[in-house]
Amino acid sequence: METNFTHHQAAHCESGVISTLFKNSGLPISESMAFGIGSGIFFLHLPFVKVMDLPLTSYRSFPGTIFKKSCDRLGVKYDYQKFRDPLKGRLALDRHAGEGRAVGLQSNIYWLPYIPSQFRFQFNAHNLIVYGKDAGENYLVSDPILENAAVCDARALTKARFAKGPLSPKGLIYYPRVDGPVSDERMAKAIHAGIDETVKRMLYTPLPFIGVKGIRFLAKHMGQWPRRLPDADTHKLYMANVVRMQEEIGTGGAGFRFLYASFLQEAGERLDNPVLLDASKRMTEAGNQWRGFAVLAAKLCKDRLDTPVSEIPKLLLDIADAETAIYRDLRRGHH
Amino acid sequence: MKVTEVPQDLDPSYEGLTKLNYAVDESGKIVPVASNGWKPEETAKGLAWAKIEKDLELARQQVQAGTYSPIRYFMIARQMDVGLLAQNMGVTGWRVRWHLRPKVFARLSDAWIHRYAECFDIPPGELRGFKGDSGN
Repeated sequence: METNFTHHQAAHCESGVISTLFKNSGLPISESMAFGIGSGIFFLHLPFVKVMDLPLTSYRSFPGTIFKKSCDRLGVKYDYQKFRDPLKGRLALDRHAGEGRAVGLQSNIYWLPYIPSQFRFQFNAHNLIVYGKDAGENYLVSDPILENAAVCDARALTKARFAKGPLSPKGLIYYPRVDGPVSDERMAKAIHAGIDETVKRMLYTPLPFIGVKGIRFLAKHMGQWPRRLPDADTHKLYMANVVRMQEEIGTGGAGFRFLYASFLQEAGERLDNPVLLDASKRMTEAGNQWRGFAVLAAKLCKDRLDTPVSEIPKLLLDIADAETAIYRDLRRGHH
Repeated sequence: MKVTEVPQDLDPSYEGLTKLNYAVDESGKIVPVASNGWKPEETAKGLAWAKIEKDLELARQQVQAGTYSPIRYFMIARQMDVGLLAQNMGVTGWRVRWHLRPKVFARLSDAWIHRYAECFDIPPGELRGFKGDSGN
């Protein structure tokens, strides 16, 4: 099948899908811009919600929200449809593919055969693009975490789209309906709206496990892990899980902090705003601190820690302080 | 992180693929750079997989010893717990737990076996005939 679709590799699945869909409809929006305008950066630690016996830690906002928010803020209309019946969901996708329209899908990454086996976990919010079908029963897939486009057989993709459980995709199909360029004024507004929401969520959510408070909350619990958890192996698994959420799934490194720094830089240059440019530099610094934390955590997992265990949560407290200062300055100075 | 500091630790689990990191180049611009692995990530991922393999081996022995039905083995193999399997089957967790008993499993109808096999994406015969022998 002939298509004029161009695949782009990205760091993060959802913002990558959004950016690629935008670019293919003539809107030059980078992955970092989609991520920042859609308020993608976040922090959440829920010790009482267990995923495979491990407490939930997340560095990004709730799946699906980045797409809707970036479209709304850029004034782009979009379609967003879920299905109860797998057959209907599959037929709808076939229709889009037949019309040569590239669409975003939510799926369970475990069931996608073209993903390297060690990256396949039961995770229901992986995003990818289908932009056509080949002569047989295979979909042409543009998965943002891959360098090149791939193919996926219909049976596997349907299973992935209709997996059940937390964040279940329910066959979600979404795509923007771009009808012209975005004005500079609109873009500036969208950037400010994205930053406003991020600042509000990271600093002022009145719950202890969200935002910079969440980072401190994790630090506090992490300090208790050595004596609260039943054995050293469980302790290591808990540590490893935080590192995996930060690095393994496509985050661009340091739990999206580098990706967000890239957004702040691009936005700062576009709006000629020194506050954003300064925040970008410091966000990169914060990202380096997160990487430093991951290095220590990995050393603990390998029994090669040469500092006391209590130093690790202290790093998180430093990061929380650094990020608090960044968001405060953004709040005061970005408009 | 500078472009020159983007780790290239050649993680075998990437299977030759790369992942994008965002890093600062000489002019101070943040650009995407491909990375083929980072040791701390590899360590964390390795630990998670070691846990899955350990659980799977335990499940195999339990099926072999007759403590649990084969459903438990494939549930662990598919990285599910009882709750997630129940949701994918469209039944309650109690029902799945009931079917984890070997005696109950032996009496299950073909229709049930088919539904479980479909859920695990394996042939029904493999589920029914799984004895937990090593090398299986």
